Amino acid sequence: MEGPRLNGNERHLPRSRRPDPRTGRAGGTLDAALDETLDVALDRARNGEEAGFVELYRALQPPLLRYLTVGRNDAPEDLASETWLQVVRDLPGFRGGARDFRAFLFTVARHRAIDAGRARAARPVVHLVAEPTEVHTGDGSVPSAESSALESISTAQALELVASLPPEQAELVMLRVVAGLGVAEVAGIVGKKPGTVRVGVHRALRSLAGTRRARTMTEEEVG
Amino acid sequence: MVSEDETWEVEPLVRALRAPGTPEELAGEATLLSAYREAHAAPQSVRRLVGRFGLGATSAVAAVVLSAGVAAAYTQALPDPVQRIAHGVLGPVGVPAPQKQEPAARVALPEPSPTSSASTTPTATPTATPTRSPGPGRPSPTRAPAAPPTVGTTGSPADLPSPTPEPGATPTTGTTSPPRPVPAAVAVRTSSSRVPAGGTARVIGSLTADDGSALRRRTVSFWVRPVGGSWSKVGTARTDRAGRVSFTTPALDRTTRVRLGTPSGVLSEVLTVVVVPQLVVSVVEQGGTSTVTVSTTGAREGETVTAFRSVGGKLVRVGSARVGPDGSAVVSVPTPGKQVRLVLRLRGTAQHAPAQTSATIGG
Repeated sequence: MEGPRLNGNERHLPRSRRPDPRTGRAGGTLDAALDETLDVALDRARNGEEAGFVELYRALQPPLLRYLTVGRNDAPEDLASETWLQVVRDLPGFRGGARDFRAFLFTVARHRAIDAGRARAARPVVHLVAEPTEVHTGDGSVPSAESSALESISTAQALELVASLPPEQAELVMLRVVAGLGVAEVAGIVGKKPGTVRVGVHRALRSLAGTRRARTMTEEEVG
Repeated sequence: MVSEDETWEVEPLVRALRAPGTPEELAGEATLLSAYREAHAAPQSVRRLVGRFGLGATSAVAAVVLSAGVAAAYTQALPDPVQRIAHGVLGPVGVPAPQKQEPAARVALPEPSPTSSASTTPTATPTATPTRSPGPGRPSPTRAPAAPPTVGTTGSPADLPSPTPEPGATPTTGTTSPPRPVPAAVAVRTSSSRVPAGGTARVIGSLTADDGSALRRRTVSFWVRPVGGSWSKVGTARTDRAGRVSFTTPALDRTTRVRLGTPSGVLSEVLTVVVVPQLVVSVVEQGGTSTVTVSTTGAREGETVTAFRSVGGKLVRVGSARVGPDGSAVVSVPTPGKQVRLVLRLRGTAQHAPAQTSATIGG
């Protein structure tokens, strides 16, 4: 529901989830509190204060990098750098608050990733040259990381799990959960209906949780 | 609606996804800061010049020019209408006149926003910068996010930033990045390798672009498929300066296929690592019977070990036994009168190569 007045459904929402009286946007973000801090940082960054920019970077680079990593990109760090370079260039003229900035950042990243994908698709089929060498016997034990405790999941493992989803679902999860964007914003970025986004994210997370409980995590970093 | 949004906030998975950044993730900070510094004129110089020329009618122009960088004006990098104004306002400071000889043109100055003319703060925030395109608060998915240009020009489409790397339209930062090379085919070879059961194999990959140049710092994943199983990813690494990356398989108990792949779905050929079972023989001679115990590593229960002896240059079968649950097969043969070489063979299967060993009995 977009609009500054609270309707029946929204009155019982916690304050951070009610429609923003300034923008009329509802749907809440996970990072409402963080955005208040980042609003200040953004203003400082626009004024040329390094400390403000550093704060923005430290808050938003990890989510950005994780979003690009899940997105099946060959060099997510490079994409993230290019995104920031473009954003730095456009920063002085940027209008809007932290939440808009967040959406802007991820939209730029998404465009760059899509362009990189197009460049790659235009090329002929590619191969790596892989040659096993050096055969040796070790006890070579691969620790079987049985994540029986639901709490013991690392960020890397979580990203792997999300990456196992179909690409469109994975992107929804990353934009909603990691980028911290609202349902309406995510819908606008990916071109889907807000309802589709909300339901999609919920189902994806449920199925991922189920997957983790049901199977033993035997995949592990080797070599 | 409320419960849907909130229930997953407490999921451990969500917590892991949103965990604080690691130093590795933030490693690019220093490089980015220098780009940030370049893109932003030092507040001190803004303070000085604004103080010098005062505020009022010229404040909007000053803000526009300075946000682009006074240095840019010196190098004649500003678009012409702005350059002319800069010359007029900053004349005493020594900004070179523009090259073209044109009558003083009426240039559409940006409307100064109320805050800028009233403000006496040293930081001339570019709130006076005109917005000539929709604000980034409404990014449209079909085209580049239209952030306003940093310099207040009359705005042509060429000045709008776009997601693809192209020569910077704004004079402040020259972030021209060449198109990133993509992985490409160079050569493909098949090879296989043999590993003792329980051993590991190293797999080396080399990622190259169309022109054969190595691609550094690219993510490559390592996939294995034991025969009879399915592909699973067992490792991820980044290519080194030479575009190479290496992985070690888990301990293999059966023949396994391996391949490398990039996140974008570029896959190498499938290579096969063949497991060779190990056979260890021990013989006990007692009362005319030689009991030959063959301990195997990598053979399955129920497989057959066959014993042969060489007769006139040909191998003749003299006995066989099945591998038991403990992995060993026991063959009994009458102890020969003279020394005889016994050959013990395990036939190859889909899971492993054939293997053989020998023992001397009798005599």
